[in-house]
This record gives sequence, C-alpha cells and structure tokens, in this order.
Amino acid sequence: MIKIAILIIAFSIQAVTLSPYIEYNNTSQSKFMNQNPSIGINIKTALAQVRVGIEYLELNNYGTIHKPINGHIITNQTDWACPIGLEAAWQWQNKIRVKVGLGAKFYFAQTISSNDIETIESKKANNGEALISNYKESFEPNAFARVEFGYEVIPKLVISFSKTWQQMKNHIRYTYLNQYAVSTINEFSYDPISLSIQYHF
Amino acid sequence: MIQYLYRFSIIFSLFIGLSGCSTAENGFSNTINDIQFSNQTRRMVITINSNQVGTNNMTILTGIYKSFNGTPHNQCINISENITINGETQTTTTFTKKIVSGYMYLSDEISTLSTAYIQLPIAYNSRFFGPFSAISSENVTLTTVGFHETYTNQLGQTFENVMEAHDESGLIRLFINQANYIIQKEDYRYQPTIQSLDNN
Repeated sequence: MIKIAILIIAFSIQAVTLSPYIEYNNTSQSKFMNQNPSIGINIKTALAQVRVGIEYLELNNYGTIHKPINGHIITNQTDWACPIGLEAAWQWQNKIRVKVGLGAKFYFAQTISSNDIETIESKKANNGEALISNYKESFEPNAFARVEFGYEVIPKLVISFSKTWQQMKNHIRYTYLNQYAVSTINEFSYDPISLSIQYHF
Repeated sequence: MIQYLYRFSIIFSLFIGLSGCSTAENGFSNTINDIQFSNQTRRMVITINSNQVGTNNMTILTGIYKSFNGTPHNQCINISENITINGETQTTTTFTKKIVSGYMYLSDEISTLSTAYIQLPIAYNSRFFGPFSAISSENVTLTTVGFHETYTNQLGQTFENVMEAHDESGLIRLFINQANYIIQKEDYRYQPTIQSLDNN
C-alpha cells in the first residue's frame, strides 16, 4: 500500500506546477468575523489539483451561551486554520479560468479572551451557584466548497474572485451547576467573497 | 364576458380566503384579561433533563406598601421565590403593582410605569419583563407566541386557557393563566431546566 502511494507521488511530482497565492476574504458582511486573510499554494499534478493554505481568523463576540444572537454563540478569539481541498479547473480564451473546489478546514492555535470567559462564568443561577464553569470553545473541522473566477492580467499572474461556502462548528464545553458536563456544537454559516493574487511557476 | 367575470370573482375569493388563512397562522385572537394574585404559597418542582433536582417555594403577598428609588407605592405585590437545587438555596424577590395597562415591574433601578411585568390584557405578542427563567434570576423580556385551551405541565397536571411566551431566542419559555399565575417556566439555554407548578 505504501509502495503504491510512493509511486503515485513520484509519478505526480514529474508533472507538478506550483502556484502560491495570497487571499483577502471580505469580512464586511459578517457580523462576527473581523479579519480573515490567507496564504497558500495550489499544487497541480498529473492526477489532481490540490489547494493547501494557512488562514488567520479574528472573531469578535457575537452571542453568548446565555444570550445567543440569531443562533450564534461566539467569544472574542483568534484562530489559525489549514484549508486543504481538491480543485477542478477550466480555461476559457487563455485568459479566463474557472475553478471549483471541495475540501476541509482544520483549526489550531486558538487564543480566546479570558476576560470574556470570566464574564460568561460570572453569571449565577437562581439557587446562588455558578451557572456554568470550565467554559471552553473550539472550532471543529468543517467542509467547504468554493467557486473561483480568475483572469490572467500578465503572463503567469492571475487575479481571482471567489466565493466560499462553509458551515462553521463551534464546539462548546462547560459544567452546568457545578455537576452536569455539557458538550454542544453551535453551527453557523460563514460564506465570504474573496480576492486573491496567484502566480504560476 | 360574464364567464370571465365569474372566473375573476372565484380567483379573487380564493385569494381573500388564502390571505385570511395566513393571518390566522401568524397570530390568535384569544386573550387573558387579568392574573389573579392573592396571598398564597405555591410549590414549583424543578427538573433538569427530566430528573427532579429541587423546588421553588413561591410566596405571594398582596397589599404591600414599599418605596422604590424614593417614590412610595401602595398596593404592591411581593413575589418571593425560595429556590433549592441540589441542596443549594437562594431567594429571589420581585415586586409588582397593578396599573391600567397591566402589572408594572418595580425595583430601585427600574421604576417607570411603562415597564410592564405583565402587560394586560395578555394577547398575541404581549410583553413580559421579569425573572421568568427557570434557572437564572436575571430579568428577561418575553412575548406571547401561543395560546392553549388545555395545557398539561411536566407533572401531568392540566390547566385551561394558558398563554405561552418566549424570549427572542425561543430558549426561555413561560406558561401562564388567569387562575394560576405561572404554571411552568422552561429554560433550554444549557440543559433542559423546567419549573412546574404542583397544585396537589
């Protein structure tokens, strides 16, 4: 099995082309996402096109476990994410490229506001106990789909507009009334439009 | 020509009929004109995930004289809730007073006559403001979303002409009627936590 994988990789590398990109996701339409830039690389092999990147996410408070807003529960935090996807591309009149992609996004290195966690945990129940304690949030991996329209402005340099669809999953864990362990997933959509610059080596 | 007029009349009638149906779905015409407050003690049973974990012993005193933020009020109603869950106890007290538009909410922080504890008559979209959560003592705003001719609470006890009110998220719910005041409080923000009136 490993030999087959090595052979596939070796065969692919013979025809590999690399296209690094830098991407700006427009977060102005989102009520909870402040910033979400990303960089990455498109790897085109004989077998498939793979897109791998690193994203930075800066999210603000938008709803709490005590008072969700439009079904959202998000605490002020920063995260890093690694999107990995497979893409298919079509070229039209040498200059215009259309891509569709499917993939998964993995989150890591979360920094969450300790002040906001303290505020969440400071609420008392009507029997005088702490309502919730040991409050934690973390994003679960999520699938995404994207469509990209690119235009080759000068040879090898492509400017693209894309739309991504994804359902983010905020995994919330806490202890209710000092004795009930609760684990729940709060899901919401984040579908940014983005602008990217890509160079084909 | 007459044939087309008939067709137009039929289509127009169907349109009016369908419009009527959609209005009925969005609201209801039932009302509750008052809430009967009298000196009494009541017992609410508290459950979490359908397991009984405590009680709310509620004491209602009427005809109280009290000053709020320097303004004296007579004929106030004192609603005291002694809540015990898993052996931990705390008492929450609410003061209200009947005015023309309902029962106003009284406190040193909020003492304007426009703050309705219970807006009267209770109809579709009527407003409630007070400690109506089953698990926290913070004040929440609810609006009436449903009417039940008969309603069975979690203890299996049946009540008539019950109004159902929700907060904005739909996670905090209140069931109330004229004869029994609060019949059930529900809070689904954490684990399902319910206070049910025990009339036995």
